[in-house]
Amino acid sequence: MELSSPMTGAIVALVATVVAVPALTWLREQYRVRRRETVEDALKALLELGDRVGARTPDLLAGRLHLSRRATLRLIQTMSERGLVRVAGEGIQLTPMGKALALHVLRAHRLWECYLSDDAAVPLKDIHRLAEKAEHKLSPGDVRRLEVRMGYPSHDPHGDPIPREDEAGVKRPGTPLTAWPVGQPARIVHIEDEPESVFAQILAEGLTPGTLLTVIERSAKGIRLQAEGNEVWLAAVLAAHIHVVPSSDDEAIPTAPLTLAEVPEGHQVQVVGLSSEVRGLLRRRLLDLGFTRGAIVEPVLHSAFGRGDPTAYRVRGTLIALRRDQARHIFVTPLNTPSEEEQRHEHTHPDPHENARARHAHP
Amino acid sequence: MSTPTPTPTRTRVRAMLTHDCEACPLYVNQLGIDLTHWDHLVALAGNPNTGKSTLFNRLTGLKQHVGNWPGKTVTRAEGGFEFNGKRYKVVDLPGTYSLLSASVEEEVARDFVLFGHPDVVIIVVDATALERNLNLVLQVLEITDKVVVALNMMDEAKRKGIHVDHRRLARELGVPVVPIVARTGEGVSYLMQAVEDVAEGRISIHPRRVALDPALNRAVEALIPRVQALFPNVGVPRWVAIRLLDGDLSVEDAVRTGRLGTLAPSAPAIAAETGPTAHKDNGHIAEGEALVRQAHELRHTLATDFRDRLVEAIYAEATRIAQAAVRAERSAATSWEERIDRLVTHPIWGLPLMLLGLAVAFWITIVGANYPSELLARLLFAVEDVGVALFQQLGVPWWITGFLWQGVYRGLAWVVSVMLPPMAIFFPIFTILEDLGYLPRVAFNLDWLFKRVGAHGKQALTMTMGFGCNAAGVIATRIIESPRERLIAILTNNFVPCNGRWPTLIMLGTIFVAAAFPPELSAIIAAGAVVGAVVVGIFFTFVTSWLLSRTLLRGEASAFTLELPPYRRPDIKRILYTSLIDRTIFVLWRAVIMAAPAGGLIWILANIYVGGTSLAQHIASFLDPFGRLLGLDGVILLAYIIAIPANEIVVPTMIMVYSGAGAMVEAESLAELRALFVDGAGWTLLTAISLMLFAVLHNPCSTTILTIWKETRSAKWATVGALMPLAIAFLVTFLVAQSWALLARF
Repeated sequence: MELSSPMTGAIVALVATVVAVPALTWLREQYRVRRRETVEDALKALLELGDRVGARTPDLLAGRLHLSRRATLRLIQTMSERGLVRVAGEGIQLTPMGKALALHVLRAHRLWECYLSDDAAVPLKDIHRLAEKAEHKLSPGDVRRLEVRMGYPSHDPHGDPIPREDEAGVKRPGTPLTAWPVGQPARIVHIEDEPESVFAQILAEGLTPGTLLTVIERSAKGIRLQAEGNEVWLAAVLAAHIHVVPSSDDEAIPTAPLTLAEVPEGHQVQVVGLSSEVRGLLRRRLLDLGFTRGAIVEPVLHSAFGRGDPTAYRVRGTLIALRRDQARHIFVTPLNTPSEEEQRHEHTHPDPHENARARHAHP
Repeated sequence: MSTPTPTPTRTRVRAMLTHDCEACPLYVNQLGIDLTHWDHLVALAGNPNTGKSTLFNRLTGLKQHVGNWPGKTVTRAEGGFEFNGKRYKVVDLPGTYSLLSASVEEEVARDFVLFGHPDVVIIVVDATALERNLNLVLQVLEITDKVVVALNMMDEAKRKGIHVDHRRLARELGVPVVPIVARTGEGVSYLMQAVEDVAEGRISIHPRRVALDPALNRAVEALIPRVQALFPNVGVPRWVAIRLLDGDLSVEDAVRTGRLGTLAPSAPAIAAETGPTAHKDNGHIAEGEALVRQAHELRHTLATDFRDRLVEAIYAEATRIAQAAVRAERSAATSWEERIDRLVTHPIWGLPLMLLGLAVAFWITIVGANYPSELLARLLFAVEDVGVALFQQLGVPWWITGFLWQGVYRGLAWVVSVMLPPMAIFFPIFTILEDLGYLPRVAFNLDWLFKRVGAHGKQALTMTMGFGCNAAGVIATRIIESPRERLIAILTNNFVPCNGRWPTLIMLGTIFVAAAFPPELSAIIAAGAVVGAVVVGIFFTFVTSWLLSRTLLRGEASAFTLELPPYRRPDIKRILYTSLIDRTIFVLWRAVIMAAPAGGLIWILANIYVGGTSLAQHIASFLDPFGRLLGLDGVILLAYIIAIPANEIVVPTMIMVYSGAGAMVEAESLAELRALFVDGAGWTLLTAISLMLFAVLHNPCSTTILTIWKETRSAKWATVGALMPLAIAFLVTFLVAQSWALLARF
């Protein structure tokens, strides 16, 4: 093919047009989306900055959004033209419309975090980043459906409150762990998710919102605590990022609980509870399958090649296979020793003692 | 019947367990899909694996109306029967453990019980696992009073030494309980008698309601008066209150629109008059809105583990009732089953057993399909000859004859004769193994492998199904309840070569790879080459599963659980019927729709000449440089483009273009084929290897793409499912061809 021929020129021009037009349209669309997202981020940041006097200044906003002062001022200008904010001197006020939009984005962000963590099993350290993108793509209807699906969560997975449609509840709950008395049982309600490195370090210790703990010892450098059976030492800097509330008695889990994953084949055990790490879809399914408090469970079969992963358990008359990761989160208590197990073969049904215990375990 | 029989007495039960249904006083007259003028609507609910569909077949016969629930990828079956002069319509609800967690199946079942206005809900209960089954019974009893419990598998329970006191159970639940054996039909007419009594209001029912957690109870009590005030004729205000607190969207909508008001005791009549669009006045809607709002307020006062407590309370009640009604002793039957389970999951014997099972299934399919396939081909092509002769006699222009008979008809005949026999054999075998309870054990054994790549053990089963047909494999992924793992299984199913691609692989393995070795080894080498291609496919299944679960599908919901149902004797008659209807005919029909136009297109391409060469040749030479990059050539790419509707016609199309014939033809012998490809078209060992790889990895056929779209309800996933394999096929063949060329230089 000769490059100089007029035909070639025409084809090149045609191809260039075919490629260029959609590409330009796409670029323009991207620019628009980007601008809308910046506005939404700014509104959310303003909401989170709170309405104390001097809390919402262009400089603080610029810092939150990582923008230059000039770009921030231009952004504020745009927002005020669109009736989302009012500027009074240095202070920026959200208009009712702006506040509603800001609440929507905040709710979208935190509910999406719930979804990612509970239903999609995304590790906690990644959810914030993913939700930063998704929050702009959800419509008010989506957010409402999401809220129902997640069962009206009051807090996102690391403990930030989820405001309702009609209010601006952005207050942090609980007491900092650094100020919690020794020996009193507590439940984690919030872990600050910024900076990411600190958050990841706390998670690596096995602490998540919902974890039950007791402070054993406190010093200026750090805190030693008992959390769901493990002893953890936390530096004071980390502990300050954790907020706790008193735990109620009936949710208490024995200090060194046995998990279903550790039960040898043929031993019957009774479920005492599910770990706080099992949430959402999986929690609902485990409950529906009968892994509720008081249920009697017995490991029956190990998979041929997985060396016990998965293992099939007899629960309420059916064999249900669970992976080790899941069995690990089901806390149990031994029901009888192997010698008693032998006796069970003669008079089949669990003896009245166990029944009494089974009933006792229920609320 | 003048005297209502709430539950049969013990003597009668014994009588019906020993006698055949001939001795029963009344017969169930199966009506199949004849659903005209029914008097009563009956819904069948129950856990999975309780013999629900066996009872359904027992009632309606094998002919039934099978489709999907509107807007859902959940199978819906309907049928009819006549009993005691009354006509009944039966709807089979999806099998679920619960109605609370809002999976699609549970939503469908719940909505039908609530808004479908069934006159009676039959809950099929497995007598060998009563405690678990009672969870669902208690939940249904919260929604409706019109319940009859069918205590199924009484024979199996007896064998396992489990004695269920059905009268005690009936007393505890407050609804009729009828022991039956659905497989043999024992007790079914007593069941129907109870159903009739409930439908006609001859039995008063006092269903048991579960006691709730105090905090939840307070919230429920606060809502009940308002629900009653707003919907005075709704019989289940407590259930409505609980659902509103749980944030159930369809109940919220029903409250807002006033549709809930149609749930009166004699609902069908009202529903027929007003329909779901019945609107209340505006004041009513505002009150409904206020009620929903109050429920939201109360919801925030409840503990976060509200749902945990609810499920616990129901199960605690189920445990209590089961302990009162069941007496169990250990028996030989249970230990026999356990022994099989130990063997099947044995660290040493498990794997050989599984491979042996698979090998036997494939062997039966291949050997069994050989003869009927040949016969069918001969028959169908004889019809073509007759048709052509007839047309010529009538003086029809040659191009009409050619297009219709050598194009459209031949494409169709080809696909049918290649596809039908293996499918008609493979699918029933698969279903028998499934119903037997063996396949869930295979998934259990292989889960550790799939877990590593973020997939579900049941993907092993959908992949096996894919060996028969990828479209059927995609539909089979419905058995994977977890959304993310199901998507992985759907998108990667294509890497398992289907029935339509086997002939290509076998031909290549035989005439190219094996021909490079001494004749005494050739059979083994050929088989090895085909197995090698399959292994490559499986390897890419795992690689792409791994990639997908870490990239595209990261944000999709996921939860693994796997039930291992007890071993049960499969219902062969039903399997033969349903696997023929549901799978074979269905898949075949779609393939025919696709293959006929493709046959026509091929004929046009081969018979329209521009400047002395056919269109097909033109396109092939245009595609040739690109094909060479991949170690293939233009004709192969053309064949694959034309064969998007049906992979069976790849080889016939290639032969047609290479030999310059005007229609698809089959080679007389392997030697002739080899001569055509090697001497005529210049194929090398590289061409054969690249083609094998391409055959395994390339895009799914159009039926499969369409099925992906229907199953996922998403154009996005259908596109990914089509383009991802194609890109991988291009990449892999390109790399192989280029490294081959590089190596050849040294």
